[in-house]
Amino acid sequence: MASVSKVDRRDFLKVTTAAAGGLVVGAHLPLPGEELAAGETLEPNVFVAVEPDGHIIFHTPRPEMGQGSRTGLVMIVADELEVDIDDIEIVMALAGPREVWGSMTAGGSTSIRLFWEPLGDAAAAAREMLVRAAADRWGVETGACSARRGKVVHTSSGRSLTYGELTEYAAALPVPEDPTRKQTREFRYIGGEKDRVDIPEKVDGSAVFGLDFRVPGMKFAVLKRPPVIGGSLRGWDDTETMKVPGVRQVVEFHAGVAVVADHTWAALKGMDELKIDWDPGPHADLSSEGIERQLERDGREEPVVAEDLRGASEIFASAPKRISAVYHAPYISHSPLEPINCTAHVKENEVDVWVPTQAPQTCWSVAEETSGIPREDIRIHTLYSGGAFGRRLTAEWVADAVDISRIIGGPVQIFWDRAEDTMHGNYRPISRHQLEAAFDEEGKWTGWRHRVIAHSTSRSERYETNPNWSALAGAARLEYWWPSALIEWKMSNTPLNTGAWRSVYESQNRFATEAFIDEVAHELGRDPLDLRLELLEGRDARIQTVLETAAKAIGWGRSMPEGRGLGIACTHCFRGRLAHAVEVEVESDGTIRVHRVESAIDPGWAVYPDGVRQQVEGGVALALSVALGEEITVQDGVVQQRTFSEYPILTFDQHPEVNVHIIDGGEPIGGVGEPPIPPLAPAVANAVFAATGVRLRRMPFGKVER
Amino acid sequence: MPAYSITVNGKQCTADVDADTPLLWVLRDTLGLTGTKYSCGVGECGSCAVFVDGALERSCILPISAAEGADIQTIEGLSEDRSHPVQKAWITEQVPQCGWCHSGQILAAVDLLRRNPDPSDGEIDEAMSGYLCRCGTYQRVRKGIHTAAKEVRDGERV
Repeated sequence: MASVSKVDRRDFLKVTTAAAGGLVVGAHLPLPGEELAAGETLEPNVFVAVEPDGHIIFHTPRPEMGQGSRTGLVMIVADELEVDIDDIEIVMALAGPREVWGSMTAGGSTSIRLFWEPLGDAAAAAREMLVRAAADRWGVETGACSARRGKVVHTSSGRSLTYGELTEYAAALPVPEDPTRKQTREFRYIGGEKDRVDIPEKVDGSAVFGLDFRVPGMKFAVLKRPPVIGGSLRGWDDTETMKVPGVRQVVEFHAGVAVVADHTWAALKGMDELKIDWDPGPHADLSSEGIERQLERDGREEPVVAEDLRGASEIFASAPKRISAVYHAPYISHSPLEPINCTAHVKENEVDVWVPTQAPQTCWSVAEETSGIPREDIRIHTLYSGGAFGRRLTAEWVADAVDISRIIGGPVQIFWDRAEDTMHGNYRPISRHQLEAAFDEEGKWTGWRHRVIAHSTSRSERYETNPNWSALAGAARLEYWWPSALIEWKMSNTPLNTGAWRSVYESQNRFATEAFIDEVAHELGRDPLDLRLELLEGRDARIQTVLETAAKAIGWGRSMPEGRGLGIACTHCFRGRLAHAVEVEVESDGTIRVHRVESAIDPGWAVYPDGVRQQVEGGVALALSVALGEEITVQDGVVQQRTFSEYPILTFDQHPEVNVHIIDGGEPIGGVGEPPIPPLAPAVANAVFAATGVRLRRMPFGKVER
Repeated sequence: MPAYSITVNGKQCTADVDADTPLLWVLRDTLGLTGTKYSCGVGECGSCAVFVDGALERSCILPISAAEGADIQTIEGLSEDRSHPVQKAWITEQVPQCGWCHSGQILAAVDLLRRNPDPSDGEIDEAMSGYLCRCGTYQRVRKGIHTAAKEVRDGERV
């Protein structure tokens, strides 16, 4: 339950740069395990301000990276405050304390669902206070007044007062404990079609992304980290570099070497000319081949048992018949099109950072650690990200920019070129999946076994002897009622840097799960859709619904021409249930063409339906890109991929027709950003099998070899 | 350092830069027009596309010396107020997600429609395949092109 409070004007001004007067409300998002003592003063987080001149400001707590949260969140404010959405100025909040803001991280498909209550409550409370202010002014009951598009109207007389006229009086009123939220039928924006608020500036080049940000006098720096993973800088020869006009200096920073110049080209050219001496370090013999052998070896070791349900271990010990398969998902890169960059200005006692990030508070901590300046004197200005997908959850580049700004004594924009981003990513971890299904003498299915052998981003020792449940997402604790289930975990780390890639471990575990279900179905002579529905009977009707909806839309069960097949797969993750049904054609040379994807998503209910559609369409493209062609490989300790010729991403002509079906599953609101990813690869693999009889068990699929 | 003269969006500009400076960086850093983007720096993705004497070029690999005297049009030069038919279509069809690739996508669409105001899906595929998008907006780009094409056929200037 969110608690709403007024924000003291002085506190408001402390955390924002906008001058305000009048009513400002925020809401306190209780952190888990927290209790509010009686009389305790709340620190509000989400600010909705109504100024005396009628200006409305919404401080959005979540970064916009193309996922549309900026729009979804302002729709909530506009509806509950009862103003025209175009009259709201949206300002991205500076990074602030968790006690005040909750989490500002745009990730985990949480922005709409976590802020629905506190943000809506704050706006509704403000609306009620403004109505009360008008009622007091007129000497009438609040019930005789109503809020309408920035005004309060006295129904019987038609008198009205604007919010601007009422705000200072309203600010002195007590905050309602339990503001009344609008009914669904009263929504003007929520649940309806609405244009994205940030699209106009993205069609004329005026939107300011991280790399576009400028401050007078800033320098530009191009960075290089050791190409061999785990290597270090010995030194360099900058004779040729310093001859490049515009180059100012070459500096060692915490993670490598930087060429600092007056403009980007000089820095790029200067870096090209720099002769760097790297110490390769301990991992110069790391190779993808070696990593694969390690995964195979670790797959034979005794695993940690995560689930042993309904007698599974005994069943597998003695099953007379079984089928098995090994699935594989490689390291992959996020590769957002806007390269990694950050602008920082470290002054004697304060720091300003301008950065495209998903995680403002992480940037805040890192800036404080790197600069040694207390965070109260650090301002993190979050800019638009040119794509993120999990890439910008960490903040190494904030450390880079702060370090270099401090060294050169002025503002600097640091930038990792495309090759640098690809070589030094925080990749999705590699994984190997050993699956088995057991059958009795009569061929009845008796057991499901999935051993996940994976690089774990959390390298904690505890995962040597305990299951890493996050790393088992999509493999363990599923709704499917397996006849018996043995889910096993084996951590197998390498020196590569890994992180959260959109949908995290679901994107690889679900590939294995959903493709092997089809293998079991085939063995049983069962339709893969029917088998899934049966496994979900009495367990999760909403997943059944998304499966049936997608299946119906693709025309499941119709006979397919030569070389074409249908495939289906589903997920329930990040509070979203989604199924993809796909129609695939395999050409004579083995090229996989996905013609059509019917996606059914139950996100609870959709605050911003077109936002849901955008996320599903985009997720299909991203997941298909990975399934078809993406892989990070290592040789001699060096990541082999550089630009898009070595790391090909989906092109226009490869994109299928995608139709999104939004199913209203009711409250609570679920997540939509990540659910579209996991089921796509297995649906395609399943369709390829239907078309050709060939099983695709390794991503990237490349061409089908018949 | 030599000074290069170019016309950008109808305005005369000079750039005192080295001959090998790519036009991309002249636009972004020298002239402050950051609408044109960098995504790969090697001409593979199309984010940097601009019109040079009417032809669409990858500005990240076009040295300024090769653009001397040219008439350049960037995303900023399409209209004063987002009224170009492709810009309007991009808003109507809600095309961009993060938006980073769309300066290039939009100019590629403009280029296509200038040559062919009634493109088929196959012609759109061919024209647009060199313009990468990571967010997955390709389906809406296609729709946007069809929507803008209608306006162009109805007489709107592209």
